[in-house]
Amino acid sequence: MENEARTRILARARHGGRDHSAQQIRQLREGLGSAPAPVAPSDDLAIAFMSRLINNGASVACVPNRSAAVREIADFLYRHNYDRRLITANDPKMATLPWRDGGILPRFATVGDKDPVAASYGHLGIAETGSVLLPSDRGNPARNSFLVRDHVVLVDAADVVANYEQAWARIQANAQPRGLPRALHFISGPSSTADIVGHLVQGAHGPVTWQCIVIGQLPDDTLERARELAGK
Amino acid sequence: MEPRHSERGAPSPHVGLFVTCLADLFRPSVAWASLTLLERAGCRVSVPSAQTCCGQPAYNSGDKARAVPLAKSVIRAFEGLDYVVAPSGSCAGMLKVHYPRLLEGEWRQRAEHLAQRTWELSAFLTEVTPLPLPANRPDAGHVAFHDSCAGLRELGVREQPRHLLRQQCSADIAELDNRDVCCGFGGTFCAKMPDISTKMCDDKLKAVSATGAPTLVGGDLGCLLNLAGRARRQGQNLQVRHFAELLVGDINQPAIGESGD
Amino acid sequence: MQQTSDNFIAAATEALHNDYQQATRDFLGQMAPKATAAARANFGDWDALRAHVKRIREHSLDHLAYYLEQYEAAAQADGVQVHWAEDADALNRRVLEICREHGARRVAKGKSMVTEETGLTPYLESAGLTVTETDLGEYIVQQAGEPPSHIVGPALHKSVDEVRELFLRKHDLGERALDGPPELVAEARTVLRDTFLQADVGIIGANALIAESGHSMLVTNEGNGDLVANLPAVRIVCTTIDRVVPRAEDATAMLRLLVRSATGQSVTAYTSFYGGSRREEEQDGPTETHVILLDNHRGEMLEGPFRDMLHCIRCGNCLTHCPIYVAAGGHAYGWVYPGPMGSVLTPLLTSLEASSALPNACTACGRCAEICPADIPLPDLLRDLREEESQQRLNPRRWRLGIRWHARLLRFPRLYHGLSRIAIAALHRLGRRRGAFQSLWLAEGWTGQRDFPAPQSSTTFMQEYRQQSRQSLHSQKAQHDGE
Repeated sequence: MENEARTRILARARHGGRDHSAQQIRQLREGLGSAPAPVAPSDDLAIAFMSRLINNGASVACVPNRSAAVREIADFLYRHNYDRRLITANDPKMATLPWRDGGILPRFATVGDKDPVAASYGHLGIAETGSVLLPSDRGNPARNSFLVRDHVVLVDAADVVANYEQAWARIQANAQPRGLPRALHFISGPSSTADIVGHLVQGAHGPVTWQCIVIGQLPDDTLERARELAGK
Repeated sequence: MEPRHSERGAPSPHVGLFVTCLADLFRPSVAWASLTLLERAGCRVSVPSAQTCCGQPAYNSGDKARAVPLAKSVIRAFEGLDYVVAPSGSCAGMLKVHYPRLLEGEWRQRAEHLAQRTWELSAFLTEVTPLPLPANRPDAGHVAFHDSCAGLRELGVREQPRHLLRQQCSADIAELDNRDVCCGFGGTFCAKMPDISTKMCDDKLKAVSATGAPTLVGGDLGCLLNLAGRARRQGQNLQVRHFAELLVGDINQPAIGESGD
Repeated sequence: MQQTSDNFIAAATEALHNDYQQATRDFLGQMAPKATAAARANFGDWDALRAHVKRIREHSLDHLAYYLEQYEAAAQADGVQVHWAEDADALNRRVLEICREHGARRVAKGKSMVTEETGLTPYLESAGLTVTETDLGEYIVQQAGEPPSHIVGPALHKSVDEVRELFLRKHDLGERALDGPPELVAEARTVLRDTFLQADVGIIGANALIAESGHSMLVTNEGNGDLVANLPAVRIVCTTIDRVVPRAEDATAMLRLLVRSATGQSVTAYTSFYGGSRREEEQDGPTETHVILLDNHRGEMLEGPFRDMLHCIRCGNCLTHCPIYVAAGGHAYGWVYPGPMGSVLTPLLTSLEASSALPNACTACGRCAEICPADIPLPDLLRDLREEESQQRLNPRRWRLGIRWHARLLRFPRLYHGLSRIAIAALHRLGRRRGAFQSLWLAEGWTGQRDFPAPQSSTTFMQEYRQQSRQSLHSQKAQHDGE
């Protein structure tokens, strides 16, 4: 019966549409080109990316190397009154971080129902929106991104692209033989809601604080310029 | 009658005045003012007697079948004239935007030809035949301006009447808060859904009142009758007039809805 | 849900008398247009984006069958079970069947207007399931037993005090202050945690379907949608056939329009793309995934004059730009979709008979069409619906006949001008002293709340003009004779 519904729905769709071959349809789509992207706040990708993150309510740090990144995580844990234990997913980039430099004891796992904090490693950043991609794979359980109260996300400055179009090109280029990851999460800041009288509250069902640590040899004033652009 | 010639020797454009039914019935001074302004701008003006109404009430009520003959008779009445000018954004928009949609085949072509020649008064007097400065500039004083939706969105009439009011009669124009929001008239809407319409009208009158201007000026009699009628009911002391009346300095007679005695 | 659209006018009047809610809506009507206008301005070439997405959507609709089949194949290859539902009932039944196959008792829902449209929640509840809306706004209206009043902010009509009272009554958590939005949000977060963790089935909607990859796009700020999509063992995506676009970049192009028009943000906290079930190496994610493609009149709309409505991206921007929505409030529209988009969709998805007031809830001001990110000519579509009403004689006979006779008279200029001369002379004489009428026969709709300005003169313009032309002819003749 459902099969009949499918047939009827597709028949109506066909009737209300145009009759073209698959090749013609591909060509027609090709002919429509790409969408215009928004005006970037800065030509410098890292600055643009970080200024968007700040606008999105994320807290942002900028560090020159992996050792400094670990110390930054340690600092984050200290500021939020956590001990030095941290759950991170089983991601190769995470596993090889110099954890001792920050005195952190990582546990490579998926968060339990009550675990309040986790760290993840983003696959790329998008300057257009200040988003970090966390795809589904063994290194990124969704629970670690959505169930915790505080989430720390690392991303390499070298992995920041300008816009969605570039992000998709990169994702497709990196795709496994099986195709794209089954889930792609672009996360741009802490969860929020304005559902009660339009009053913006940071921290709805997902993380309340969301810290992004950008790792790369960037000019010293990068973060400062991003803050200025964000007006904060 | 010989066509008048402008200084450069080009024949003066022959303009058909689309009076609009509301000006015809309720506010002849708006039509007279329009006629005066067009002549002052160097136009030869005719007023085809076969015109009645643009057909909006039927068209907007979903009775397109009955709007069609009205559209055709307007097209016929104004054929052969260089331009059609209306002191109303909504009627001009009906001719310019909606007639071509309403009609088909050969009539659509004729409608498109009419559409190309149709102008709202203030747009015509700024973009086609600029209005020369009068010898004695009347002083319109402090006025609030109401944008009518059809003129604003269908025809892009926004700055033109403001420019004319400043240039021709030194108006000090107060802008309304939420100036792009409808006043609640909407043709038959105001009678079909009076409570909602009144709320919208009150919001507009509050914005007018906040400017402190004693006069409200606009370019569409539909909106102005609505606003004047509600202001009177509420006892709000406000003079409501069409901008054409101010441009010709015709402000001694009663404002819309005011007593003549 | 029980449709009450035919009660629009009375419900709007009632809403107008609720001072608190009217003030809230006025505030929303002030702020939302400002926020979305700023977001559009900051984008850059907004019109080019709007035009591009419109071409993409038009292309997608032109080849809807092709893209739906492509989507289905790609999703199935990723392990998604794709179902087709022709109407609301078919979707609801399918969801219930899936729940039953898994012996599910608890269902968590993300925000989905499609399931509001099909009435899924009450359907599942009547079958004995516990269904919890997890979007905060949806949760509030579900607890209050009300429908959403806005498609993006379902509970924006509720005051802080109302939500507080509601939570104190519904959550058994003892004495507490709960005196502001942050406290209320925190409590909802705590309460709903167990829902996410214990649900057997998660139901979400989709903002777009990507034909090429078989993914569905979900755009949210709260994170509830992603918890619902990832934590329960079974995920069901409920969406409609018109959501499909060719490529991932087409979905994100649409996303640029959507977020700016919905909330004035440049991005939401979460944008997720969901395909199939958990893969072997992964540690979480659902073990079974379903997508239900609902038609429910979309296929019919594809062919008729209302095809443009299929471009709607459900941003809600036309609602807050519409002064009638701001005056009447979302509930007055009496069904799922309010405001201008709702006034078009409701008659098309239910029936014109049941919602004949809605196409009339429009002054044709055009503000909605001006800002619509999908460039839908909403006032024109509403006029088309009024035409259908008129043809089907669904509008009041008095109106229909009035318009008809008026239009007939207008076809005879001499008769019209003659009659109007008589009428205007009489009206002028009657109204001259006051300048306006406080009541007028046949114009009660007008004079109920405003005066009716009297004609300025005892003559019409056409009459005066003819007299003057005649006089000037006479004087020219006299001059001529005198020479």
